[in-house]
Formats: sequence, structure tokens, C-alpha cells
Amino acid sequence: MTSTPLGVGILGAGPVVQAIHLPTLARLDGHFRVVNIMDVNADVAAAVAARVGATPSTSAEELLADPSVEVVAICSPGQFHASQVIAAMRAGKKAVLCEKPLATSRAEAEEIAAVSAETGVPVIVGAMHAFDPGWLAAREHAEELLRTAHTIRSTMLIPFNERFEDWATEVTGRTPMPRPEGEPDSEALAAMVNGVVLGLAIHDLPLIRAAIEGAESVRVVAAELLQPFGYSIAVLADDRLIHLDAGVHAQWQPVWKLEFAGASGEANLEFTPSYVHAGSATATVTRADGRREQYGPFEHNGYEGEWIVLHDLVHGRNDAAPSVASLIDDLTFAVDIAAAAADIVRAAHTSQEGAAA
Amino acid sequence: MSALTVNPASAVTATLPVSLSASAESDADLIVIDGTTSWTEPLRAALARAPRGVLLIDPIAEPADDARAVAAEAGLARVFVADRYAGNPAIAALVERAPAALQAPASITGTVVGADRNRSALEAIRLLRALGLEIAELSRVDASGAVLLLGRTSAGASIALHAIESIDERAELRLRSFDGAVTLALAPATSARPAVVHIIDANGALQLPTIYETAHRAGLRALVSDGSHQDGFDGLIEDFELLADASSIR
Repeated sequence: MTSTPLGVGILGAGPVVQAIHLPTLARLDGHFRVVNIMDVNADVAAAVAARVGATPSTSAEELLADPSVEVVAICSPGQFHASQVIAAMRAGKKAVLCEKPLATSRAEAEEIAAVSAETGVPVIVGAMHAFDPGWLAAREHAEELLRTAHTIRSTMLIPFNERFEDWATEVTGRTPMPRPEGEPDSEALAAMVNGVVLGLAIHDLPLIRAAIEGAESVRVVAAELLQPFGYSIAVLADDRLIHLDAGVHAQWQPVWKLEFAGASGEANLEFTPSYVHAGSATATVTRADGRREQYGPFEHNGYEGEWIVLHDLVHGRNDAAPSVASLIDDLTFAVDIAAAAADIVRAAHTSQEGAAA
Repeated sequence: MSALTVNPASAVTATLPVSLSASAESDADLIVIDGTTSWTEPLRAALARAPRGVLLIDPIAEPADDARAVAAEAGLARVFVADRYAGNPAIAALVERAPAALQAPASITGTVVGADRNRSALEAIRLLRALGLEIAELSRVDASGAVLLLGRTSAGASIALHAIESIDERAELRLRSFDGAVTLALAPATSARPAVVHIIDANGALQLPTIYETAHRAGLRALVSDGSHQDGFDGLIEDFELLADASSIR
């Protein structure tokens, strides 16, 4: 613990900030203090900032001009991430935590990397599961199994976010989930699948990429949008199978798993839902001789993990931080899968329309 | 300790010692055939002995034409099938209860883990048939140690079934609707470890009563009891064809 907590400025004050980052930072109050919160909705900015005694702002420029802001968390909509990360670096801040995705394209991410190198300001992405102690334990104890698994499955079956947000905080300024009007056309469906990959699948894609690093070929071979909101996407990484399955539903049971299976056993992770601060994933490793090992659940989750890594980066300890190059590769992996899945969904719908005409 | 090898045919016969007496004679009323290796010729030979019935346990896929030719020779004999997962008595109990998520699932996902991914793929689609879910479209993604079966039921539910080569043999299935789900976790029929079946809805999760009876015994009991039970041999052949005809996605 440092004697002087780092001043945090947060761009965006939506439910993720209110239910995740503010409670996390409250638990880490020896390391951080929230000094400025920006939201384009002045009422939301004022209300959320008042909870933690911070200054409200309504523009990124205003927040970045605040000298008490030492580190910046980018929690705005994804299309603003790259420009705001770069602005925070150029404003001379000490470090940046950017919610996923880091950017919307590899080009944007490379620009971030260049500015990071130029300014010396480190950036990490809030891919919380990559910092989850359960995942870190699996990597430590089952690295070979993860790297040789022939089958990787990501399953996210989750109730609507409100169910969990309301257990973690009292949300101000919640906006209802937009619902498409009428029957979506092929472009709208393609945009939806692109959005769900970059909004939902992206949570675990960095972990999957870590397991298949070095694959020469990564191809999306099947993709389907599931109603009302979900996907089923099959990927071949060389000759290894990756299946991404997700759905939002109206009952209470969350299922969030990442499973690795190979000839020599399995490593299966069960994550807790976002928002609720219910501790880490539990990792279960089944060895070739039938022995089972369980790691976790640990008290802390990946959100605390990512903030601690950011803290360490500011203080010159970066042994647990992913390199900027790996962040670019993570983003590219996700963007490419999203685009390829969107292409398949678009083509399937166009074909159906043609058949019906 | 010596490796333990169990003969599934004699093991299941021994579970009904009053109803049955084991016989090596050629005039046995009921014949049990281990289907884990090529079984069409043994079945043909068994049927030639004119038994009252045959129990085929854990059949691997055989050419559908061969199986159909054998079926045509069955005459009055009934050929029952006892799959190590699909034959689990918990499935019949679930079907009888008919929860909403089983009657109208939006999505079906599942996993069968075993030593042979093609056998596991067959076992996965056998599970859907046992649940009364008709597969209308099926394609497969083949990877180095797994097969992913993708498709749709005749009612429009999406299907994603994994057949995975690994050591912890089991089958798992999840049928989900927007406001409910059914989950099944099944052990292989080499033990009577009960299936764990949950019906999940807004009120919570109901676990169905555990049934400590193997799929093999349930199949043999059905064969012994009366003739009203569906034997399932035609369905088995249809599933061979379904799997053989699944389009390959690469």
C-alpha cells in the first residue's frame, strides 16, 4: 500500500462504473481515491461524483485538465476509447485503464501503442477475467493443458445486467437497452453479431488467445445469432476447436464458463457474474490419471486484479501487466472474429432473403 | 492392482437374477449383445437363434444399410437398444414430467466426453432422440480431438453438441428457453451413478429424484417386462444416417 493513494478520473459514469469500478476502488482505498467523474449527462456526472466526493465533469477535456487526476479509467462507449486513451496519455497522466475493447480496429490500437511508447504512459485493458485469480491459478498449474487443449468452449448464459447491478449499487441514470424496430435486415444482423462479440465474447477472448497463441490459422467456420440476444460461433484455430456460446435470458441462473479439454485432461473455469463482486472464478483441473484439483474461489476478483496491476505499473512494477503488443493482438483477435462472424450471419440472411424472394 | 475389466452383457444380466437366468444355451429367450465393437454380424447370428428379444447395448455406428438388413431379418424378435447415456432412466422421468424448456427449447447445447469422438457424436444425437427432440438439420465441424455438431430441431431450436475426446467420460445437456432451462449430467452406464437433472425456472431449480439404475438395466428391464415399450432399433438406424449425412463445415 502506498502512503498517497493515486487520484482516479473516470470517463463515463454508467452502470459499469457505478456497480463495478466505484465499489472496487472503495475496497482499494489505500491505493486509489476517485477525484473526478465525467459523464455527458451532467445530472449523472454530478450524482455519481457526489457519492465519492469527486468533482463532476461533462467533457473529457475538463477531466483531463484536472491536475488531481493521476490515472484515468476509460469507461465510455467503445467508439470513444482510442481517442480518449490517447488524450489521457498526451495529458501527462501516469497510467490508463481502458474498458474493453481497447479500440475498434487494429489501426487505432497501434496508434495507442505508438503514443504509449512516445509518452511512456502505460495502458491496460479491463479484461477482468485475464486478471482473475482463478484464471491465473489455472495458468500456473495447468499451463500445458491449456496450451494443448484441442477444444475450448466459452459459455455465457446470463440474466439481464439489471439483476446484478441492483445488488451491487443503486444505479443512477440507467438507460434502457435499445431494441431494434421491425425485422432487422442482413446488415443490422451483421452489426448485431459484431456488437455481441465485441461486447460480450470479448470478456474471455484474451484468455482463449493466450491458449492458442502461435496458431497459424484462425477461421470462423460457423456463426449464428441466437434470440433474443446471443450467439453461437465456431472457430478453428489450426485444427483446434473453439466454440463461443452466449445468451441473455429472463431466469435467475447465471452460467459463465470457460472450458479447455485435451487428451490429457480438462481445465474448467466457472466465473462469477459481473457487477456483484462475488469473488474469483473457480478453476477445476482434471488430470490424465483422474485426479482433480480445484483452485479458488478466491476472495478477490479480476476487477481488483486489474486495478492492482495498474497501481503497480505506476510504481514501476510491471511484471503482471500484459504488453501493449499483446493488447493489440487481443483486440485484433476479437475484431477479426467479430467481422468474420458478421460476414457469415450476413451471408446466411441474404441467402434466406434470396430464397424467399 | 490388476486392471478391472467388466463384461457389460454379463453385468447387466446379473442385475435381474429372478427374472432371468443366465444361459449359454442356444435356445435362450433373451440375448444381450455388446455393441461397443462391430455388432451387426453378432446380431444376425443371435436373431438366427429365434430369441424372444435382443438387447443391444451401447451400439457404435454401423453402416445403416447393414443394420437395416439385419433388422429386416428380425422377424418376431424385438431388438431393444440400451445406450449408455440416452438409455438412462432419468431421461424417461424427465420426458414424463415435460417441463416447458424441454417441450419448446430455443437452444440445445451438450457435451459427450469419451475415448472416441465419433462414438460420442452418435451418443449426443441419441440423447436428443431419447428426449423426443427431432433433428431437422445437422452439420459437423471436425477438429483434432472433437466434433461439434451444429443444427436445428424440427421445431427450430438451435443445436450445438460437442463430442470430445478426453478422459472424464460423461454427457451433459442443457436445453434453454428464454425463461427456463433443463440441465442433465449423466455418467456412463458402467456404474449406477445417478443422472443429475434440474428443471430451472423463475421459481428456482428443481432437482429430479435420483435413480440409481444403469441405462443397461433399465433397457433390459423394459425388454423383460412387456411388449409395450418402444424398442428403438429403427431410431438407431435413422441416427446412423443422420450422422453419416451431416454436412461437413471446414
